[in-house]
Amino acid sequence: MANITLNDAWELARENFGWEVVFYVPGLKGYRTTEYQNSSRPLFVPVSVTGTRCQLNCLHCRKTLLKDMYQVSSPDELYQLGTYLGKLGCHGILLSGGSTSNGEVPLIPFLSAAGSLKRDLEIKIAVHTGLVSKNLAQALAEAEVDTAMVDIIGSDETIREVCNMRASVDDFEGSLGYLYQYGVKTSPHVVIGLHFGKIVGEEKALELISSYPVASLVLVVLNPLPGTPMALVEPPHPLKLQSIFLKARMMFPKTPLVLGCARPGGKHKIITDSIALEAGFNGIAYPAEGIASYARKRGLEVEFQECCCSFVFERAGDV
Amino acid sequence: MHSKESPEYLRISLAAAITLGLRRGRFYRNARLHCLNLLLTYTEGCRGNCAYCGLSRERQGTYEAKSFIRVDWPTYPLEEILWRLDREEHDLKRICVSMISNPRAISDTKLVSERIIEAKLNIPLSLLIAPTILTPLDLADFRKYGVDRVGVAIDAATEDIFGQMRGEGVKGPHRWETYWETVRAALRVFGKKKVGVHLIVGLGEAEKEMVMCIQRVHSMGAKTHLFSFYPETSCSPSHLSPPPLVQYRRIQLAQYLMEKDLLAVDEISFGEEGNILDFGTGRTELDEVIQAGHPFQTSGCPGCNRPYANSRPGLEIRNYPFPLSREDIQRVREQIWPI
Repeated sequence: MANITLNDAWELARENFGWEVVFYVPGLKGYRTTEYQNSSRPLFVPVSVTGTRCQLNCLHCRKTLLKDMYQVSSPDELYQLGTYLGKLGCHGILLSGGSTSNGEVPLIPFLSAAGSLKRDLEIKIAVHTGLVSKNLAQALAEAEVDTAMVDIIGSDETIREVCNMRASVDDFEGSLGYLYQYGVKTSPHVVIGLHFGKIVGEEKALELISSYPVASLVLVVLNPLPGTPMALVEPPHPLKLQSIFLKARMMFPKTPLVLGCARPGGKHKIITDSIALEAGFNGIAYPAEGIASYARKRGLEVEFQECCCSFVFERAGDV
Repeated sequence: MHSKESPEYLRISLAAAITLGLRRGRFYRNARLHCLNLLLTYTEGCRGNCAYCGLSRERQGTYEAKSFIRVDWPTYPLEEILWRLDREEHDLKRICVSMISNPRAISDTKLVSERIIEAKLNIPLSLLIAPTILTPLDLADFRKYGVDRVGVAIDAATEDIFGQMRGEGVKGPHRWETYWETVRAALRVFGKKKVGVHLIVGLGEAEKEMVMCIQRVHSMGAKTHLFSFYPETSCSPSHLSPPPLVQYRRIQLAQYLMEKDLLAVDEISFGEEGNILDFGTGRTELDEVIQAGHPFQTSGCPGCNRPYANSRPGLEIRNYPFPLSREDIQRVREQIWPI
C-alpha cells in the first residue's frame, strides 16, 4: 500500500459511497462558523455514569473530558434526565464515564434504563465502552444500543504507559470479538498519536479492526489538553496523519470512515480536515471553517447533522 | 476541539455545585444557598483586566481554571443545571446570570435567560450586567426575556480608584462614567429599587468616600450591594488586605441606615482621614438597628445571600448569609466600635 495517493482514496470513496460528505456538529459543543451554526439545544448529549471519577486517569485526559458531561448517579436518574431532555428535543445520548482500574466503564447497571429511553422516547444510544467483557457485550445487545464506541489501542506500551492499564492489545481485540459475537453494532475509535504524539500502534489497531465487520470507523487525533501531562506534547504532523488516513481508507473501502471530534484546533485542524476530505472520508465532526465550501468546490453534496459522527453508518452504509 | 463555552455551558460556584448535588460538601453553620449564580464562560475569557478580579485578562491560567472570589467555579451544561434545579431539594429563591466583558456574552445572556424562564422553575431571574459592552436596547431585551432585576458591579467608590483598578491604570476597557450611565439606563428599564450597585469596601477608599458613593446610589433610586474586599490569590493587588472589620461594620451600618432613610450623609461626622466618628442618630435608635442584625446580613437582590463569598467561614463573617444569632449580634456589637 506504499504508493497510494489522495487521488486513489478519493476515487475509491466516490465509487463506493457517491458524491456526498456529512459534517457532524452535535450540541456537545457550540459550533458557529459562517457555514453552519448548531442549535444550543441539547439535541445530542454526553452523560457520564461515574461523574468525574475515573480510576485509570490516562495521561492524555486526566478526567478533563468527563467534566464536559452530564452526570447521573443511578439508572433512575439516567431515565429521568433522558425524559427531561427528550422534551427539549434531545434525540441522542452518548453514554460514557470514567473507567475502573481494569479499563471497563461500569455501564451495565445503566443499560436497561438506556434501553428504555430508546424504546419509550426514541432516543438513540451510543456508548463509550472501554474494554468490553462478555457480560457487557451481552448487556449492550439486550439494551439494543445503537452503537458501541470502543477505543482500540494497538500497542502494549501505549496501553501501559499512557492509559495506566494492566491489559494488552489482545484484550482490545477480545472486546471487538465479544461485540461481534453478540451482534452489537460497533464504531471503533483510534486515537492517532496517543503515544505522546508518536505513531506507534495505530496500524496494528486498524488491522485488528479490519477483521470485524464494524459499522463505522472513527479516527481522532491526540489533542494535548491543558492541565494534563500531555499539554506540551506536539500532536502528530498532518502529513503523518495523511498516511494513516490513506491506509485506513484503503483498508476499509466499504466501511464508513469519519474524522471524529477530538483533534487539535487552529491551523492543524484546517490542514487535517482538508486532508481527511481529500482522502475520501465519509464525514468530519466539527469541520474547520472553510471545509464545507471546499467540499462543495470538489463537487460534493454537503450535509450537516447534529448527532455523533459514529452514526455515519446510517448514511453511508447501504450505498 | 475542546471548548465548553456558553451558552451551552456555564460555570457555577462550588456552593451551587454542592446545592445541586454535583459536588459533595457542607456549609459552615448549615448555611443554605439562596441564589444560584451562573457565570458565562468563554475560552478567551473576559476582556476586562480589573486588578482585584480572579478572572482578569492578565492573570495567569486559562479562563476555565481561574478562581473567582477565591473559589473554583466548575463548568456544567446549562440543561443539566436546569434539570437539577427542577429535581433537587433546595432553598433557591433567585437565579443570577453573571455576564463577563466578552462580546458574545450579550446574545448568550439573552439565550440563557430565555431558557431559564422557559424551564418554568418559578424562581426570579437577575443579571449582573457588563456595562462596557451593553446598550440600553439590550437592557430592554433582557427585561423582555423575563429578567426582573439587574446588578451593576461598579465596585470602586471613587472615579480615581475605578480608573486605577479597572480602567487606564490596568489598561482595562472599563470607564467610570459608562458604569453610572448604565445604572441610570437600567433604572429606566427595570424601575427604582430594581437595580443594585455592587460596591467593594477596602479597595483603598476612605470611609467617607464609600458613604458618599452609597448616598449617590441611594439618591438615584438604586440599591447598594456591599462586599468586603477579599484578595484573590496570585492577583496583583494581593498586597492589599481585607479592610479592617471595624471599617466594614461601620459601612454596613451606614448603608443600612441610609437605605432605610434613617440617615443622610450630612448627619455623619467624619474624622480627618474620612473615618466615621459618629452617626448622629439617637443612640437608642442605632441600638435597635444593631440589635435586629439586618445591616450585617448579605445585601443584594431579594433572596441573594452568597454564603462566605467574601470572608472565610468562621467567627468573622463579613456578610451573614442567615439571620444573626444572639451571640452573633453580641460579637458584631463588639466589632463595630466603642461608640
